[in-house]
Amino acid sequence: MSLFELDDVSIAYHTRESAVFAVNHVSLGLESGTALGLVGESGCGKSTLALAALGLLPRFANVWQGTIRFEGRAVSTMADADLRALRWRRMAYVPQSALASLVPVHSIRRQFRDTAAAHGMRAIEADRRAAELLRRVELDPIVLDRFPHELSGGMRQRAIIALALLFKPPLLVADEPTTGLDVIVQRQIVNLLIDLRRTEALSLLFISHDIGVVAELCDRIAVLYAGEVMEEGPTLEVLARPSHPYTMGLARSFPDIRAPDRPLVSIPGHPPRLSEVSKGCPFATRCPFVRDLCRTDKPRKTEVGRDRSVACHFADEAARMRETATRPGIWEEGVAAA
Amino acid sequence: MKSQPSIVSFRDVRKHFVPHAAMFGKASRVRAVDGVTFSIAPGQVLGIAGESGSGKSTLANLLVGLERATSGEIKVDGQIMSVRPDRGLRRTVQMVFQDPFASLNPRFTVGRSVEEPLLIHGIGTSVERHAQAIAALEKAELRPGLAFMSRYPHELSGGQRQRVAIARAVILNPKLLVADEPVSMLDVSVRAGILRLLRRLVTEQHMAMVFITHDLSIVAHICDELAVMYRGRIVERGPVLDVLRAPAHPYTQALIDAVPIPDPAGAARELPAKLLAGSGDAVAARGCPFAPRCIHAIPQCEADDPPDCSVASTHLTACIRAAELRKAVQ
Repeated sequence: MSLFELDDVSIAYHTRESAVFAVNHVSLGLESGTALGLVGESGCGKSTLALAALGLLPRFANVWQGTIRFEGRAVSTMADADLRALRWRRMAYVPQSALASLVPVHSIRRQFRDTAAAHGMRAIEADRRAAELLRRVELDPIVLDRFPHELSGGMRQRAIIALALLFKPPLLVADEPTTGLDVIVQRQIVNLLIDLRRTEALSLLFISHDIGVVAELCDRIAVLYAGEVMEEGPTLEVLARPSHPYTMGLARSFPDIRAPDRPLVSIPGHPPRLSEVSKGCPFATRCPFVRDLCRTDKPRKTEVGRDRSVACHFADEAARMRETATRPGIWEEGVAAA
Repeated sequence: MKSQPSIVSFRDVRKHFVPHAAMFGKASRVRAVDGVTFSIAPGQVLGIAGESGSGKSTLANLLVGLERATSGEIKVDGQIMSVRPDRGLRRTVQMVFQDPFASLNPRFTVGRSVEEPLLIHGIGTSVERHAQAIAALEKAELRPGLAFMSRYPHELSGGQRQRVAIARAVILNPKLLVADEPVSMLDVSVRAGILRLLRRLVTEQHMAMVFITHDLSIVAHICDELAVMYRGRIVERGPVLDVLRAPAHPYTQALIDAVPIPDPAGAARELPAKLLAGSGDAVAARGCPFAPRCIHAIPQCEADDPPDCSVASTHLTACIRAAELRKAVQ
């Protein structure tokens, strides 16, 4: 049984007149002790998925269909009281903005104590655990008496991670936890998460637009586009031999410091708006390999190799497309033709 | 290209801030920019790379006249840059900002935003301005330009918005473009297109550009030269590929080593404890600012300001041990 599972999940945001879908028919699994990276551009639904996993969707959004399961229980239909018992104790959240997620007028100690009290841990125990966890994330426990504004961005993010670990949850959901940090600090946080995975048997649902960070941290990767999973599989294999044209473009648009002058791909156009529901493949408008079938029929998820799947009609031609996709020109020509 | 007169030059420029606490004799001055010298010829792009607090944004503010230098000389297009420069000088320097969501007025149409610089400088009739705005949009690869004129920023994607901001910046035919992290807020898939656009405009319009970034992995796609800043000083500069392939300063090396790579073949790359420990310390008035975090530091590093040492004729670094460390690697 997977620790965390999405089974044909669609998530809707409701406006007064209509509903738009930020996530469409997504099925994914996360095994205990592993890390799954969700990558994609802004608006692809990755943060919506994170919030849904934690049962934290805003009031005007809901899981329209499908089931989100955590430890075998359906989170998507759970009562608030039951959810509260799960959060922090069984699954914790590390958001992108550490400054916005700490109470600015409370000391770090107070933030640990308040969280502990809300979930039934005594203050003396919270203090003991806080000091231990801060050392674990390489912070001096002296920061317990500091306020968030007195800490640097990297220190705050480490304090948040320490706080998330207060109840030793088996699952950590991290939404772009290193975005906006300096590169050396980012390296420190990534190394910390790698280390925590190893020593605490922590499972990780990691959301990022940065393929490099996901590559270093996650066993498996799911590439999202316009609320749908384009491709999923073991990170190394997916990045080395992408089967979906979108993954091919994304991998080639990401610069590699080891090859600083390798040509970069720019995928022309932009993702469809949520209100534009495509009959066919959502990537068809930007895909250099698009054919008529792509515009009319939605591609089904097909298995390519062990534990790997892709949603592309022409997945069997992936090897040829990979070859062509390395040329930046092909992406620009593709759109001119469309 | 060296013989061409430069469009912008910095000569030993310093910008020091006095924190409020210093009035009570507590804190020392913040040396945001501390003795920076460089020049850029037309058609050339200088990359300024550094982390937060390196002084790169203060440098941008000095370039466009939003801050007054404490000492040193800044020349743009032959004139000395001061705070609130006159209209003519303001025209020659334009800026592209990081966040295209914030830099465009959400209540202005694209056309009005792009025309505004012409309006401010009293250029042309309304018909001419309209035509120029369309031309500028097309130059920024928003085609057909007319179709974008009546749209609002919220109707555009991030990449399109940044193109509008670029069209607005180049409509006055500036001689210097200052781009402060122009792609860091954009989706990875559209970044290369914006970098190529900026590069093309620099070449076509014979501008000089200062490209400020924290991301070393993109600099080779846009810059000719790269300057790495640390705590207000340029610690290394040279042709961009020389610096990336053979970094001479231990700080540049640390920055390159920390970049995540999309190929997890190796294990986690550990960071030296000293590199992490010293990051928050105040900088001493003398000596190499990086010495407290440098694993190669020797007592002399903290005693004297490091002079610029040549690695190659055009590749300089402010590290007294650069030559000896290089030999050790080879």
